Amino acid sequence: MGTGRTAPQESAEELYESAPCGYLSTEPDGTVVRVNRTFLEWTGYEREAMLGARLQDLLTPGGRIYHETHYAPLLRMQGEVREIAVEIMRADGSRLPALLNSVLALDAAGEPALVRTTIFDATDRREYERELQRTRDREREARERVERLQGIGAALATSPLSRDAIAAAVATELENRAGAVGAAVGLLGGGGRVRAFGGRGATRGLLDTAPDGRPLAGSAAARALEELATVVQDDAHGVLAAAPLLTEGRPLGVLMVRVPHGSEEPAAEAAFLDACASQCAHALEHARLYEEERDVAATLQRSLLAADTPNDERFRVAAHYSPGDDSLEVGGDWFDVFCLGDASVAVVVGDVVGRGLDAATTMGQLRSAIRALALADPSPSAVLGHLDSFALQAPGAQVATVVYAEISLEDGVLRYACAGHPPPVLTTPGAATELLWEGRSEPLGVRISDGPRPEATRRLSPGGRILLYTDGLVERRTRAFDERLALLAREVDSRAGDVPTRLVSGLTEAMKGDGAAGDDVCLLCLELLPAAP
Amino acid sequence: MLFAHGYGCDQNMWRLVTPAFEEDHRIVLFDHVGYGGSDSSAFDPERYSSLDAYADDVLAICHELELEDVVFVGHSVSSMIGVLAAKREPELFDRLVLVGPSPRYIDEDGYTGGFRREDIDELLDSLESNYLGWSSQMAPVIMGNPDRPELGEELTNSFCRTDPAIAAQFARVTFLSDNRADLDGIEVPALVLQCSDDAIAPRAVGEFVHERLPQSELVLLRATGHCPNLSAPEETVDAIRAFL
Repeated sequence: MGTGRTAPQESAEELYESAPCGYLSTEPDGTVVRVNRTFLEWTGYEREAMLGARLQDLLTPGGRIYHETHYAPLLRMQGEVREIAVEIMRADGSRLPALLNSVLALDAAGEPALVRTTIFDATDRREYERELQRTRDREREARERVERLQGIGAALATSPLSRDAIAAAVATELENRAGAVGAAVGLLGGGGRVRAFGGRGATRGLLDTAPDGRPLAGSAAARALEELATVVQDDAHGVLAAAPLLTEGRPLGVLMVRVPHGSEEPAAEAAFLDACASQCAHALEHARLYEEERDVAATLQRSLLAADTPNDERFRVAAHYSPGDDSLEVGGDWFDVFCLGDASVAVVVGDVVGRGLDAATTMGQLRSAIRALALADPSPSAVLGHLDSFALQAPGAQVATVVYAEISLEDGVLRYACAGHPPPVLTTPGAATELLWEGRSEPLGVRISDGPRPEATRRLSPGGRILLYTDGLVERRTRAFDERLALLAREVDSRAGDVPTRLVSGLTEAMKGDGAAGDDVCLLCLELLPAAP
Repeated sequence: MLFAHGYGCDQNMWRLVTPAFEEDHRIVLFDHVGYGGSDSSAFDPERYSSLDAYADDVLAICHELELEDVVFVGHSVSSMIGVLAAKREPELFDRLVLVGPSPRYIDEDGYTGGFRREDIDELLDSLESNYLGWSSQMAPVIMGNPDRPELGEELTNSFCRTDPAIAAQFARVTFLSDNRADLDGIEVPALVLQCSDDAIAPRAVGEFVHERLPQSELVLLRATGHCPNLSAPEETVDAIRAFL
């Protein structure tokens, strides 16, 4: 009570031997000359085994390199080294994460004489560093996932609007992803067939079954996909993640990705795949609507073009339509042939601006309007004049071009008019082929001149032909229009012996000539037959 | 004489050696990009993905300073960088001094490099734990003042301090490169300085280099370790002098 406290007695020896850190004294080349008990206890070595051993020999091979390239030079250059992280091999082969601090003692001549080193147990610190490292890795992975999603968005933005192209683009982006072993996109088709895109390597066969084991085929496929939730599960080949492609609850298909074991956080992987799936499903649904519209347009156009052509012993007629190479959408070219009572026949070829469903609809309207107008008054001037009024109420019909001709089946009188359309071709047996340059006026709905639309009259001889066509047959960026028309006249001339069906297909092929057709081509040929004896 | 430091520490590695040559030679010292007083912002991970880029830098220094009859002294990986430079422009070089050279650190197919691939991978992994006083707060001070390295001098371990990302890539390029084929066709006379107990470049590797360079001498030093330029500067200086 009240007496001054006395510090417990401890010798310098005890301070050294039982210090809370390891002590090593070594020669400049690393040979151990003195070691304390703490170090021996931490590492499990006998004192005798340590003396004469070298510090660097206690390190892992990587640590030895570090010792030679950093620790030893630093010690010599600055006389001390602090906080070098190494792993010391214990006697039992396990590793002690440690921090080394060393000072270099010099002899009287200033030369290195002795190195004193303290060793701190850094097990917890190393564990913490690894934790930081893992966090950094996770952040990097998260960043990569965002970039990958952006990549998928970009791929979808540039891919053509077809579901197959979308599935292939998404599968490729997922497969290219750092760390992915494989990826596949399955699209549910008719009859429960699941078509696979991507899916090389370890993902082959992946789409045969849903993750819950149900077969992804036949009548069960749609049900299995409908009930599929996003899953992440380990299997023999790695970590499998799958997400359904749904639009308003309806299954469109499935995304599957396989990554190596331990490379992803399951929750993060599931969230990533969900985001991909919703992006992909949205694009697929968009493409489906687009494809549907395209199909309707194609059906409409087909029905218009395939309508019955009149069968009459006084003339024969052939038409040919070939869609352009560079577009999935239907174009606005059309043709028509119809009888006006018993005495004459009308032929029409037209071209509406634009493509797709709108163009196909307008085309149908103009076609019907011309038939109705021609029945009331078959004169070309009157038909095109009334068509102008119609075009003013149908915006899609503006600037459409039309060639209309009415041929008398009694005397071969041919009346024709062109609204902004290339000139018809007329052939007469025994005479040169001609381009009909009269009866020309502006395209529909953009008439500038006053008065009725002009028309012209010629005569179609027995065995003679009139050929109508759209600009796709003659327009080429690399050739002048005049040159192409002259070529067309020559080609028609050289095919005088061909029946009309053969003529129209042969001309289409011949005029394609120097490649890059691009645009749709529509042509129609009517031949007046000699009167039966 | 152009002195090039190896992987690990900067040009201070030569400070016990260069004074001996100051009287009869022009001494040129430099730091590889990312080290010492260099401008770390010049580091481009793509460009420095092979030792060729470092050899380009050596040649650029020779041209910039209009050096002729260069005695190139390279330590460790820089000895191979010197070989690559001499291969490209042999007329620039009078002599090569290769201190602890190794054209390939990893054992394979009867060749002894001294390490297994796992050893190197472990080194590369463990580099994460040694920052040597590097921190992102310090980086702007050091990198923003490449002309005034004294700003960093106060810090411990400064001679070997570098951006961990640069150090990791230099280590990867150093220890994973295979430059054995580049030894062929070198006509510049070379001195191979081999330490007697070098954990990084074992004696067999030094002998391999000597055999592949017909115009070379091999000198086995009594010095141990990988840095005779620091641990035995006098013996190192004597060997270089005898060679010159």
